[in-house]
Amino acid sequence: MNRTISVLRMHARNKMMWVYVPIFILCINFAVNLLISLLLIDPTPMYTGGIIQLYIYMFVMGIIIIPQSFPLALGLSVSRKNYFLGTTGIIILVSTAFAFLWCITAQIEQQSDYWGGNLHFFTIPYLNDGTVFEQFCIYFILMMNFYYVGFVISSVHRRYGNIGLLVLFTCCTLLLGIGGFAFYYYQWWITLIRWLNDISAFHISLWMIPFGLCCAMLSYLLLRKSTV
Amino acid sequence: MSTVVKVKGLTKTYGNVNAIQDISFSIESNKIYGLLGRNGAGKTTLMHLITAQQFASSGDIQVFGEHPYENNRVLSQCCFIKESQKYPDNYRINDLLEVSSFFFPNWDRDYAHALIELFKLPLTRRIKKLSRGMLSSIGIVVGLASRAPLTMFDEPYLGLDAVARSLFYEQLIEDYGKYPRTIILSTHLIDEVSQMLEHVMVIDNGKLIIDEDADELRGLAFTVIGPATSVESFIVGRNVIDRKPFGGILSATIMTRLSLRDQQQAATLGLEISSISLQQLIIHMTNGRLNGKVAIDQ
Repeated sequence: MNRTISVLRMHARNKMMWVYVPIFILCINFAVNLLISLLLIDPTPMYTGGIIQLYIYMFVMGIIIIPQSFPLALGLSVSRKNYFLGTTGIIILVSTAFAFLWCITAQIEQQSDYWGGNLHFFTIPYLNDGTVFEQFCIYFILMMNFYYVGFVISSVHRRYGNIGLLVLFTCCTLLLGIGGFAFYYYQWWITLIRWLNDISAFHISLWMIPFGLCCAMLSYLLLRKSTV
Repeated sequence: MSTVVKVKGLTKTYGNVNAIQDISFSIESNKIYGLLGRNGAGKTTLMHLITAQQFASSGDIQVFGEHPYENNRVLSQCCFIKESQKYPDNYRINDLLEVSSFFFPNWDRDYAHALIELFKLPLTRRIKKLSRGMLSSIGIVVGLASRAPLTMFDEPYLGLDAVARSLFYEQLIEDYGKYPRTIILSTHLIDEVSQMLEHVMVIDNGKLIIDEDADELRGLAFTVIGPATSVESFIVGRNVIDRKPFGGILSATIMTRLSLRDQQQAATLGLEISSISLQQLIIHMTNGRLNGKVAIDQ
């Protein structure tokens, strides 16, 4: 347990990557969007969905965290299990903090009448339906999922190298292609869209939990066999 | 004296290449071991295997009586400083020192900072921006200040100038004296470290060809110089590992323990006998003349 917390603290030393850069990106993006919305004479609401970029940032973090910190952790005699748990710990912390921050900013956005310029930066219809707790869960689960998709890709690379990555992407492309065709051919997409229409974003996010857990488990199994 | 590392029948293959071939040895506590050998001999691979950073193809490794893989009881007692260590891009030297203190139970913060001063390292500079020599120094600082019961340095002096190297040797000896621990020093600058080694292991082409006490080893080989005919008569029946003629003079290196009678015989023949350095001995043993096998004439 102690060494897991130490791994978490090891990641936390890198505040630049976990805190400053994402907040900087968010602020710049928000400032530009706000400026544009204030300059617009057209009264139609402006939906930027600017927070999506932080999901992308999480995905990228999932990819780069292993080449950045795995060799150092092993070099400092950390077990792979402690590394995985500590890394999961920091991502839970960061995702919680950002989900919390967005819940607050979404409230501010709504209270301030969309920043006085009809800018929907933190709130998007459908995603922000439901209670604050539900919104928090959506933000949190989405971020964890984006992160673990990146993390599992990086784990495949660490374990099997470039060839492993090539095989992974080939398989994914084939699966998506065949799956897409099957959805079209058997008209499953109609059922899917009806189902998605019926359930809320919160429910979708709950459905993403098993997917995220699978990615996390898979990356752990890969890292256990990885070397430096 | 207890056994820290016990290796039995260890083999590591990469594709068709045998990096380590059926190596067996044990390492006692509180001694300085020299792991010597040429580039690509398998020294780094061996240390990676001991710390479970890589996986053996076959064989058994016991460190502090247990297998090191995913074993915190073992890992927390090991510190392996490697020449190719990678660090996160944003890390500064002080970040590394702080993080090291989390993982090594015996970490001495004051000593680490004293070493930083000694090696003139800029605490707040990014590790990415350090020169090769500074990178080596930072490894040395972490390795020494970790005071891990099993500390391994893999070619720790790369890019270091002579002053910094001798500083390292001094600090190593001094701190080892105060806090005895098992140290494995992998190097090919054999002469520089030969004085402080207590035990020597030589790896060549993935095979362990020498596993001997350093003092024993020093008395193993001698060079005999003198008139060719006298030298020839002296070396008959002995294990000659090198021979260099200069006109009528012959210099022959023999691998044997010299008895008092031998020395008297040499004196009567007018031969000059000198012991050879560890480095010369190992060069003789690893340059292929012995086909990777050491025949020690007892």
